[in-house]
Order: sequence, then C-alpha cells, then structure tokens
Amino acid sequence: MPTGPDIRPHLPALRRYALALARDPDRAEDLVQEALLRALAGARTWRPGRAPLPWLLAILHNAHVSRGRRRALEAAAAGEAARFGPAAVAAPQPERVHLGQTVAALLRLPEEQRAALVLTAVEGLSYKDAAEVLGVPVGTLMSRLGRGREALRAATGREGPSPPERAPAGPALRVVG
Amino acid sequence: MDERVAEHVTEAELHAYVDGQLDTAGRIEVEAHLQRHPEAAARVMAWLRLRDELRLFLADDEARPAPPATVGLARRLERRLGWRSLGLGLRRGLAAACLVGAGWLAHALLGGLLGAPLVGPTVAASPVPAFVDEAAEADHAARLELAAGHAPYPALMPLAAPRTGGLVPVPTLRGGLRLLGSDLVPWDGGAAVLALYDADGGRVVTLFAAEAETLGWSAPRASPGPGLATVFWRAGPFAYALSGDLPEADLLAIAREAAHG
Repeated sequence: MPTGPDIRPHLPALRRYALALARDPDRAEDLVQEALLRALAGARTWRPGRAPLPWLLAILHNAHVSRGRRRALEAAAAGEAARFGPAAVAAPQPERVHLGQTVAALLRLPEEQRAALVLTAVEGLSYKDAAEVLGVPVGTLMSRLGRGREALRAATGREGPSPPERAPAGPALRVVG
Repeated sequence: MDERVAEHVTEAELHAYVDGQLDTAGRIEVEAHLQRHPEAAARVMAWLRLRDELRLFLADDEARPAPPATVGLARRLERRLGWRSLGLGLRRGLAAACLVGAGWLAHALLGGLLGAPLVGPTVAASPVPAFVDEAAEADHAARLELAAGHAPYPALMPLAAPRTGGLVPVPTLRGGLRLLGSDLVPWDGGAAVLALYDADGGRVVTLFAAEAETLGWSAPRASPGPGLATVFWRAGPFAYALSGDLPEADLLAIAREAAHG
C-alpha cells in the first residue's frame, strides 16, 4: 500500500473555509467535494513532501472563484447569512448567541476580507501560505486582514478605540482586565 | 523594556502578533508596546477575542460531521497521492510498456520504489496524439488501484456526472462489457473521465474520454506501442482511448461501434 499524506484530518479545515466562502452548509459541502474531485484530477500538481492543506485550500478557493460560480453563489446566499445568526444557534445561552453574532458579522464581510480572516485567524496559516492560497501578494493579504478585522470589531460593537488611536484610554482598559 | 524599539510597532505588527506570525523577539517588542499603549492593547484584546469566538464557532465540528461522500473522496485522494509519492503514474507511456506478464504489479512497484525508469525512452516520434499517453497513464493508475483491492467507485458517478458528464459524452460500449465504475482523471485539456469495464474472465477494459483542445475527427485505430492493446479516436471536441486485455481486433470493433453509435 502506498503511504501518502493524510487528507481526512484536514477535512474540518476545508469544510470551515468552504463554509466561510459559500455561507451555506449545503453549498459548502458541495464545494469541498468539488475541490477533492479537482485535487484527484490534478494530483500531479501536488509535490510529494509538500503540506497538503495549503494546496487543497488553494484548489478549493479556485473552485469557488472559477466558472463565474462566485457571483451566482453570492446572489443565492445573500439571504442565507441569517441562518448563522442567533436564531440558528442550538442552545440559546448568552455566549452562544454572542458567537453567532460574531460569525454573522464575519459572513457579511466582503469575501476577500472574510477569506483572509478565516485562513489566518481561524486556520492559523502563515501569511505566506494564506497569500498563496488566495493568489495575492503578502501585503495585499495583510491589508485585507487589517480591514476585515477592524470591520468585524466595528460590526460587533466591541469596545476599544478605532485604529487611529484617538479614543480615551481609560474605559478601554477595562477590556484588558 | 526598551522604549525606543517599542515605539516602532506598526499596525501590521499588531495584526501579526494576533495571528501568531511573530518570532519571540517580535512578540516581546509588541508586548512592551502594548503595556504602554492601553488603547492599542484594548484593540488587540478585542481582536483576540473575535478570533477565539470565530474559532469556537467554526470549529464546532461535532455539530456537522463530514458526510460519507466527502470522507470517501478524501480517502481516495490519500491513495492517489500515495501512488504519486511512490513515483508511479508519472511516467507517461509506462502503462503501455510494463503490463507484460503476471508479475507486472511487482515490477511496477519495485521499479517505482527504486526510482528507476522501467522502460527506455519512447521509440521514435509517433503519430499517436498526446492524449493516448494520458489515457495510458490513467489506465495504469486504475489498474494499480484494482490490483491493490480497491473497487472502482460507482458512487463517484453521481458526483462526477454534473461536472464532466455534461461536458464529455461517454458512449455506451457493446461487446459484453459491464460498467464497473468511473473516475475523474488528470488531463491538462479540461475534463476527463476514465470508465472501467469488466470483460469476461476478469479482464478489464478502460475507456478514457476527454475534452480535447482542438477539433478533430478520426476513425478508431490501434496504437502501435507494446503492452496492452489500445485504440483511439477523435469525435469533434472529444478524444477517446480504449485499452484492455482484449485482442486488438475486438477493441477496434467495439470502438467503431461506439464511434458511430
């Protein structure tokens, strides 16, 4: 039996990224399956010894972007972000509702910011790997990340001053403590 | 703490700190900066909290286990990449040349492990189009899978169908062939499918069907290479190759019927 890289342990990361892109569980699953099919068909683009996750994430990303599917998905999924809002959260505990709001805010971000945030902040990819997945320079990735993170903070009404550091330090300190 | 250094901390470095992209020295520098700039510290704390919330929510994997179709594809990809790690399925024309005699699998595996080419350079330039090589490679990989005890995947059909079925018509083959399953296969020109058939007595026939880059028409003819008999033909935007443990004349007859059918 050949010993290749493990793929199954990467499924959660692929499915999370697909969910962040497609914003709908069924479409996300379809996207993951299409990415795996594309990976099967393009197996020769994988170099033995290379980490499979960034390679797969890039395939998944391209699958999402290509064939004009992106626009169709955006339109179809526009109304679906609500499914991830508080109403869709199983237990109505305050913390869960809070999480749901954060994710709902994430899903309302422009796609490029959403993708940058999920790849780096959630999946923990290096800036270099994430930039490669998205096919952009590292500087572009970082600026999307910065804008996305600030937009998320503003959308969730988190305490803390805006990036140009002008708000008074006093009340903000309480968050730290 | 070194105040002069800490003053140089930029917005980008704060993000890099949150994303764990800094080395120890960088982290110390940012932390020193945060100690003296509470407003920046508050922002970083808010970012960290948002990050943890997203992780918590999105990482709730038990809530949505991967469906069997997804897991099956992942398992398949593991095997495909495994073959690739062995260096098999890379050498074009290998399939046509090495499937001689009963020990072909052992030969192929050994040759792959030793990293030695199993066949010499292809004979002279032949009029056989490139897709026939690709078909041979796909055929070879499929036979390795079968020999390793992995049945082809009829279950893949419904998944693959919407993506290639509409693009590449797969003709119905006669001659007593029974469809075992099909697979998406590597092909630079677009979508390609490899269908596996069972001829009598455990003999396997494969049909490679691909989108071609050019338009072309040609009647089925035999590939002159050694090894498994292969016939190929073109039908407008599509290219086909039929290979198997059958006499070349039988394959030609099946192909002609398929090409006209």
